[in-house]
Amino acid sequence: MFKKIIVILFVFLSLGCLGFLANFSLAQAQVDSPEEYQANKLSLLKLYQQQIQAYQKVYRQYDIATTQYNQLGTIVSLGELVDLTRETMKQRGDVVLTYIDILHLELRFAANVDLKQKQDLLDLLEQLHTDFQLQQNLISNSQDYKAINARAETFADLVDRLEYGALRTKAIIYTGKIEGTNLQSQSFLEQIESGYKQNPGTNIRAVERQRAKDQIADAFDQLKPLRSDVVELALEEDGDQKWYAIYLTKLVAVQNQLLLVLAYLVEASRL
Amino acid sequence: MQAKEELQNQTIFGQVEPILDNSSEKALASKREAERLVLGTRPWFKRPKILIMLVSTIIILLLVVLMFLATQPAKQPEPVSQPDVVPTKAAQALDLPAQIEQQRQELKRLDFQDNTLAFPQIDRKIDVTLRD
Repeated sequence: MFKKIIVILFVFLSLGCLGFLANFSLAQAQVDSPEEYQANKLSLLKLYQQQIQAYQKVYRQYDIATTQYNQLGTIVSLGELVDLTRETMKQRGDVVLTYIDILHLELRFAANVDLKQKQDLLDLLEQLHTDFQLQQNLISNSQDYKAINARAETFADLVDRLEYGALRTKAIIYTGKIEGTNLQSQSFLEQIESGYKQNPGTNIRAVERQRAKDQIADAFDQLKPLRSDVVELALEEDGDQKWYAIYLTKLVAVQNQLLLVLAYLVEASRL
Repeated sequence: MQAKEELQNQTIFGQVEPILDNSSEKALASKREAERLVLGTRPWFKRPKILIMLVSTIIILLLVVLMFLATQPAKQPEPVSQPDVVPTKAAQALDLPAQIEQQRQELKRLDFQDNTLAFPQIDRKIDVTLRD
């Protein structure tokens, strides 16, 4: 009987331990602290700068090798060109991969954004990272100019997808920042109104406060259609430069209107 | 027959030695056998398998407790309160305008042309172009 009890207890605790271990690992993996964001961002930006410099250096050599081959046309010059083309493509790929990591990090920590859109874009960035990484492996294994040129064609398609992903990611990040400011402004207004109720003041003061509140209300009313435009544009599936330029224009309009709202709120908070 | 048995059992001092009846011993032996079958002849702390299992169970239990404690958020020390210092209404009123102004400055500094997110300056067309 005693033996049976021990066995049953052992089995249950082992299962419980396994389950807890899985949860523990997941909990640790999901921890995203601001310190982690700052540390990762600094590290990535530093790596990005180093990789850009390395790419620019090898690109100059590739440019020289191209000129030499065009002038000489020898097999030796062609061989050097092939080697430098491969090296330049690899360095370029490293730059792109780190850029994707930076976008992914910024998007992961973006607040006040549509969660579905955010997840879709995170998935897109992860897929792009995988595809570019595969491209890097293929480039490393490319020995002749035909293989390298085949990789060059694939890269052109990938970079179009990346541009789309990058523009949409930036749009969603900036929209989140604007939305955060909008929510904060409304919170400030509530605090101001609460302060007015707690401290009524004189009749003249009450008139000034009412004027300030009306001014703020008008400013918020003018902000609404501007925000709607931005939200509608963000939901469109476009992701080209033209779309992004229009999007930025509308976002700047929202930013300017919010600055006006905040200026009114500062005045109102002093009454 | 009985007398003969008694005669055989007589000691040199003439006492009659009782005939040993082992039926109670048999009963005791069968009882011990039954107990052995149920409990075992050795105590639990002398049986290695049970001991190992028990120790393993205790270790697993300790691990579970430790892991649970490790996932708990660290308790922040409570801020030292100064009940004698009560912020005045004026001081409170100053905080809000300062906060709003700070938010306004941050929004003003928000740069949508952030270089860190700008697309990298790379040549999209890097290949080997053969001479004609």
